[in-house]
Amino acid sequence: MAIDPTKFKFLVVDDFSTMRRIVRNLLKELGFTNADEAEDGAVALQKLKGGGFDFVVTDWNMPNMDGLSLLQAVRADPALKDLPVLMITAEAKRENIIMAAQAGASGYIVKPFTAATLGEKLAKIFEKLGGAA
Amino acid sequence: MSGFEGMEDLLQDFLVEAGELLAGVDNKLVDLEQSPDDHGLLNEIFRGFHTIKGGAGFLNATELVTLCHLTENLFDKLRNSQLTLTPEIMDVIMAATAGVRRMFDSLERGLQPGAADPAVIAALKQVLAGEAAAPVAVVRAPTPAPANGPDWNAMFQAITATGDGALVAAPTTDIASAVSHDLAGAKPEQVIAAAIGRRATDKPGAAAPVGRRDSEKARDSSIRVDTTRLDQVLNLSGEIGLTKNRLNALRSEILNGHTDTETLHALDQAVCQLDLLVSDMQNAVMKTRMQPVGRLFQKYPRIARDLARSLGKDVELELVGEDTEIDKTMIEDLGDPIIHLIRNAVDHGVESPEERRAAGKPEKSHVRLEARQEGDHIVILINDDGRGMNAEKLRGKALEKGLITMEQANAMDERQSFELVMLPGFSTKDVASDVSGRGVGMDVVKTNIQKLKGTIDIRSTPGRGSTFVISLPLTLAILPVLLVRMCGQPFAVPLSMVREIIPIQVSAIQEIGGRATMVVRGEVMPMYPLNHLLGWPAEQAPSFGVLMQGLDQSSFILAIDGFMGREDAVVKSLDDFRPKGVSGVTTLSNGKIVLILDMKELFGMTGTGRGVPRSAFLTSREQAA
Repeated sequence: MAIDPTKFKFLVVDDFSTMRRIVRNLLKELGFTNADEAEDGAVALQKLKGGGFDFVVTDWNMPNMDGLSLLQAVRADPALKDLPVLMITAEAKRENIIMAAQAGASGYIVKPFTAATLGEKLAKIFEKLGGAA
Repeated sequence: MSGFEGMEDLLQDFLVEAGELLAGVDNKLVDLEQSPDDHGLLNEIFRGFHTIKGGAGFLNATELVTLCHLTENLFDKLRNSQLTLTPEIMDVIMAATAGVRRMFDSLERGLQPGAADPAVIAALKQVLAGEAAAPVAVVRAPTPAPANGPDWNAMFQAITATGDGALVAAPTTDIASAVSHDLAGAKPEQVIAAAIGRRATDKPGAAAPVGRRDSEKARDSSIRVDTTRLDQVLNLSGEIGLTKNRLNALRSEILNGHTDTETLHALDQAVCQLDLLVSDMQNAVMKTRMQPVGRLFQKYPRIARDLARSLGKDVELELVGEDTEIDKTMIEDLGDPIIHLIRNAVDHGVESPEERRAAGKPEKSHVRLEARQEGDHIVILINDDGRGMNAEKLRGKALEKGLITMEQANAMDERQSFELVMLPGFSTKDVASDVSGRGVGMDVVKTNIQKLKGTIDIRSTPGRGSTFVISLPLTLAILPVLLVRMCGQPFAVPLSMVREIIPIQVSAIQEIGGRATMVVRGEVMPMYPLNHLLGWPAEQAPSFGVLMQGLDQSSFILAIDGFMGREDAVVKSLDDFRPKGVSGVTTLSNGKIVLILDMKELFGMTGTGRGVPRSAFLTSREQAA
């Protein structure tokens, strides 16, 4: 089954609205115009359970429910477990990357990044998705 | 950030949001002093710096990233109990926060922030390295200089430097040793590279906004509006459109000769509906300008804390009614007066711990900043539990300074005496402390409040404390007015000044010192015919009096020929041509234009001292008799 990522619906999760806007702008630059926002993991999970999302881009450090817990909750939910999740963080610490990988993150990107970097990461994830499908 | 569109907007968004975040951090820091082990607080503050750092990275604000990164690391250690919060560490944190704020200031001017105060950076690193903090004196009184002028040198380097030149701090030799104590032993460049995840070969600041002056005021002219409110406006404008269509249809029917009762009834209905919709619309639009006053209030606990500390006092600032909404322009103009009143309360109002103990009060003094809505007014209250004011002392002081005469002093009641503190040149402290010396005196506070069409009232009980009460109209856009008639012409006077309307009985008029006065419920009030204030000859003796209370709380009677009711005036200012005594114009329901009088200016023109003789209120027949 061929997938068309440009039709993907993204969920951008960050507690800082400026950052959500940055990420959405970058996604738009890459041609992904269909995106919704959530201000923390709890809100995001609620929205994801409502269905219709194809991709999650989430910050790590957030109040209420952080990105890692969100990722774990997504992977634990049978309906959502295959959803690609890209983690964004300000830390390039090794243990963080390992933690994210163990929790099942599809990718990991460090702030600040450009549209090109984001594009690369997304392309890699899409490749895997295409391979699996 | 090459290829990144919308940088200007982004910068503004960032500043607004990060500014709020920083103000929140400031407040939490004040709380943290009370409970240094609160992990929730430590976590929230950590996240605050972390989030600012993340946003700053996208704006290429390298120096901001560095400063936030170090502070964030410090909080990481605190929350993981690798470090314990000491007063010294607290001071370093406060200085770092001040540094972040200064960087916001320079970003606001469209400039990349220069390097943080090297002493602060060094102190942060020392604390991180587990050493005693650097001399805190530097930190206690952060140098304000960088806030005022951009660091041109650093900026030049920032835009010309390649890669590892990103660190424009240019450490001097004495802090170089401190840098070498850095925990990981990493070079500063590595710290930054790690913080922002950037290769050393990347060019920082390549497309950085340098000297973008036109964005200077952008922050002031934009407003954040809740979408539900905006939807309401949209909805109402749609409804108004529909009603307009209905009216159009009715008009053509009437023009075609259909003037039966049914059509006229429909017209009546449509007009009534439009009336309702328009006032709803006005309210809805006004609400888009309303902002919770909490955004203004949240920076004050930190200011009060810093000030109290520098004065050796223990003051708690309590905020009440942060949800109260105020017109955005007012929020901006209220900032400085409230700061001054808080400084005043902390500096002059509350006593030192020793004095309080001697007076049998708790050592910790309490200052309350409260906002609430009362009818169509907003009331802001600054209350302290300090020593209160002594009316006798105030009068003595004003006399001594020659601000009032002995005669005036003797005639003053308690409330008028308190108001003396708002006279220009009045200060109860002989030595102006550096605290209250910010160029904003109490007289300026009063002027600013008056500019917003508000009043300020002082209450005080010796030994118990003082309260300053600011009362403001909900909005400046619509002014309720009373329409009065003089010499056949209508005039509008602000309804807020009107206390009551009374018929003038010539027999009740007395002449005191050549001035016509009238006694209303035991109060002697001077009378001024409006035509006299305008400099017009009298056509007839005025038959009504409008009892008004001026901004200085003194009452007088404005004598007029008649009145025409009240109206909500939409004030149009006369910018290029503005006669004295006229604050603006408005259009009446019948389409006529009416002048709105500025009573204060009118009095300034003629001088209230003179007044008019009693004969001015007699008809020609009575005069002849």
